[in-house]
Amino acid sequence: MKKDKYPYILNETTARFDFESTGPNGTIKKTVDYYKIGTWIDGSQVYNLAFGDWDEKNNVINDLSRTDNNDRDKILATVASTVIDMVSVMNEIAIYAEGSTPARTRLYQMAININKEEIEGILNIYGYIDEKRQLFESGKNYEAFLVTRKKD
Amino acid sequence: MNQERTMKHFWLQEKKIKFEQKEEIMSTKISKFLEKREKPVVGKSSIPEDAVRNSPFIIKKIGQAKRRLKEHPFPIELLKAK
Repeated sequence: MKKDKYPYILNETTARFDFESTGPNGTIKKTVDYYKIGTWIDGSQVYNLAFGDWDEKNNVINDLSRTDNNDRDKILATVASTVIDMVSVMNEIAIYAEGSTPARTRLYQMAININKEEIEGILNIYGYIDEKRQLFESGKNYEAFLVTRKKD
Repeated sequence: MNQERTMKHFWLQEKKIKFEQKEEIMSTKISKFLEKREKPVVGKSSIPEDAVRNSPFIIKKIGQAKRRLKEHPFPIELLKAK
């Protein structure tokens, strides 16, 4: 089943996706930023995923604010959708994601679990736990995640 | 003898074509799925790029990711299998 998600603007030159969360707390601008952090020996380009709120007052992005608009699942589906868009543009890509706090990392885990049906056919998902990387399994509390596109 | 060799060659060619066709079907499965997806709107965002790049949170996250991947590189066996 397709999940409800927000429409987003892709800034192609910077690999950034922006969208607006709407709800009881008003409109909150959010951004999913992909920044290249390296290249693997097989040629895959490794990107870091950072997701946060646009703080207009301080002119910065942060992910520590709690702006609850009762739309968590919709936001997570939107973030997951940007991951799929990134891999659809680039074949050889790896995306690294880690929250700034354990709670935020759990949020990423939730995003994977909620959208597993849509993403597992396309993506390999690895979790980092106890200093090891392994294929993602639901129910484990990972410290970070890495996603690659499945081989065709 | 020559005829036998030609037959074998023909059979191998046939097999190769079938394999390539099968491979093509497999290789387009994910690509086709991705092509069918709704494309995001491409445009200029109202969030300035400088503000994103200079955000302490973003700088911290990039540094953290680089460090993590250096300290715990992605295992080569998983890389081969991906």
